[in-house]
Amino acid sequence: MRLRDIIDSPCGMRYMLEELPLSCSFSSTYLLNTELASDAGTVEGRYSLVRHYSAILKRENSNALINLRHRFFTLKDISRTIDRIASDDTVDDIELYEVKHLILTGIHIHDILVECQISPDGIDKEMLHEALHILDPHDEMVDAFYVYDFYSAELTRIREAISKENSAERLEYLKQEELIEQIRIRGEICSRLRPFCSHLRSLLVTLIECDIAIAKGEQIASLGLVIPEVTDGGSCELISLFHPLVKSSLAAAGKEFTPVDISFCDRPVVITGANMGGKTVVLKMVTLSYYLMLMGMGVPAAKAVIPFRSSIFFVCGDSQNIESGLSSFAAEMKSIDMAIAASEDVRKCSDMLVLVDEPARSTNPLEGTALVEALVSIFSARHVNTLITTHYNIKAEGCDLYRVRGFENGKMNYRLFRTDLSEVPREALRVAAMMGISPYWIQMAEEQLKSAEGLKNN
Amino acid sequence: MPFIQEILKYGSLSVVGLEKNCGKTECLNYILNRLPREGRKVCVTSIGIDGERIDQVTSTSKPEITLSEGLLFSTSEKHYRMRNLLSEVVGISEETTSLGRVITSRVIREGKVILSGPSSSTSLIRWMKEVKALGSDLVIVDGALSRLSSASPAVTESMILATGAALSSNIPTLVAKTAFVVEMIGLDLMDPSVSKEETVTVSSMAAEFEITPGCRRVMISGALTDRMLNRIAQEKELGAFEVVVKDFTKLFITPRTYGAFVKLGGKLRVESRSKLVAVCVNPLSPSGFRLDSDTLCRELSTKISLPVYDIVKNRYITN
Repeated sequence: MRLRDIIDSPCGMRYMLEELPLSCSFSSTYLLNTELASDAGTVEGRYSLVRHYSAILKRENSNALINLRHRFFTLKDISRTIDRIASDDTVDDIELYEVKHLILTGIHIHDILVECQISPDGIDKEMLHEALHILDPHDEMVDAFYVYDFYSAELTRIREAISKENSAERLEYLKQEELIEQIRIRGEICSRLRPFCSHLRSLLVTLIECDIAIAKGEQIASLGLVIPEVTDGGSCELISLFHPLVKSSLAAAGKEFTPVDISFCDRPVVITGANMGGKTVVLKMVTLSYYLMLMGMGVPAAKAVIPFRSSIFFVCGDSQNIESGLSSFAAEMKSIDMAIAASEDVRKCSDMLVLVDEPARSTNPLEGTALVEALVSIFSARHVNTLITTHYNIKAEGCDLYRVRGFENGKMNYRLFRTDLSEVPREALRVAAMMGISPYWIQMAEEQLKSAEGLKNN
Repeated sequence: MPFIQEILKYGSLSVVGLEKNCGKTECLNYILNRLPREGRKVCVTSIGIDGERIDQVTSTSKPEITLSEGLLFSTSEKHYRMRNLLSEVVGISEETTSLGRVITSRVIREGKVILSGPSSSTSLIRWMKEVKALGSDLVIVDGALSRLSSASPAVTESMILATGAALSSNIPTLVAKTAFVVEMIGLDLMDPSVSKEETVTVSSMAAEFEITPGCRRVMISGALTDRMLNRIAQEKELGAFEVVVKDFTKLFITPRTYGAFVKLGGKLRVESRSKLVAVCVNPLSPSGFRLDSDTLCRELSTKISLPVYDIVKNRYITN
């Protein structure tokens, strides 16, 4: 699965990509086409690149960073030109200029990295100089190209003749000669460049990954993210978890985001709590953290220990799909069914994380509760990492219960705490009253509730 | 040499023709040939296709753009490949036009080229920044007014206007039409003291709009037409606010409507403008009719209080 496939997941991955300060115009396309990591080794490789290049973000390297950004900014995806040279084609001046520009960019970036004492892995400067010499025979290192006179004695002779010629007819003939000689020389240049093609291709990738790694490092610093500790198994621990998008929109309104701590292992976690208590946001934050980890990006927490999982099933309420004619209930059932089907393979269970926001919310509480309890037992028996939010009273067997603190001193406390009580909090009426919903309606509801409880007690 | 010294005071110049066949290309060639090159890098481009061998509308022959050694120019990939000169690629812009990316290069051996550069105002501004970064101290834009190009030449610091018999074969009409455009180019800049809260923005497509009390500026996004100006002229508090357009190229109004608007106390302003350096005339119309050059220059110059030149007649052109 590529980043492109999950970018519009409701967890907010697109925001993280948009906030990535990439310099090169095609880095973002490259990232979108990058596969999510399928093993912990790949993740570690991605994070080690971030650590490696982050040294450039030090204050003393600020000038070097500006230079580097400028170089990345002018970098273009010329892989098609390289492919054409590799496949025995002859390219024109514009494309040869682009190849020269890429080589020069590679050399400059190499030098900037060395200057900042960062080892320029993957950039073979000697090889680049060798390739550059073909396009820059006088080693002038000038960022410009045309078929220079000194490529052949014949071309020098023709051009000299052109500058002295007065007869229009003769001039036309000479210019034709010049054209033929230029075509021949371009062919020669291309065949001399051919052995360097695979190196140029990998240079392009190295440079792009350098740009991406630096951007990830910058994002970690600017949004206050953390590089997680990725483990093979055990419990997932996320301390002071926040959602960057929600945090920034709250900040814009002058409000503060309350970070949340959560940890879970292979027992399903059920989160209950008041409406507007941030249960859905918790699921979004955990999903986001996993996706970010799989992309080797910073995770929005103060501390994060994440057991590697690569099959993420995030089922979030509003998946009603009018186009396919499914109701919200049907769409939700189908999504959850996919997770259950995947968990039938025992080998896959340890690689799964299932996050479901209020399953069966749109049906009656009796059947709804039964559906959720059954879901919890299935995943509990199969030891699948599961996070479920619900308003139903669920038996606490085989799962850990978390509750949003809810209303305290007239204010919502979004923090989570662990509880053994399976009784769900009754705060819907209070929340509605706080929102200024019709008092008449709320009062009627309270009376209904009292009479129903009276009946029960009798 | 007329107006060349004046141009050197600015970092950017556009040459704008009021109509096709007004001698804009001759004017551009004249400037390119006369500019002192010592220690100066000049880069030239066009917004809209230019330098065609044959005029694409009237099929009359047109002078080509001849570029001499050392000059920088920007043109689309398609036209770069068709060039008839020897040049060195020095930059490829991110800007893409319908004819490919914009290639900037330096002339190694003099020759002819078709210029077709950035096609919108934003990309033109970006292009100007890019070529300045390549070390160019004067950028020249071959501008188009009546052409299909959304780029406005008014983003340059200075401007030269080319007019001529192609616009009208009657001297008084030609003078009046040109003088009105000159007046529009010279409109005052908007009042910097007006705040955002005191501004009402009106789309040129809006069927209805309301000018709130306390408004000091009506900002027109897009073109200002006669219909819209007439509608604004009906406002009771016409003197209390200014009407602002992006630049003079967004004005599609007639002298009569504008005259009435001003007499009623209206104020028309622009967000950005170029300094009009000179006006060049081409007394020859595409149909072969020729106006008297001296009379035309004299009458126009008196009317607009600016120098007016007939470059061709006065043999300023060398080739």
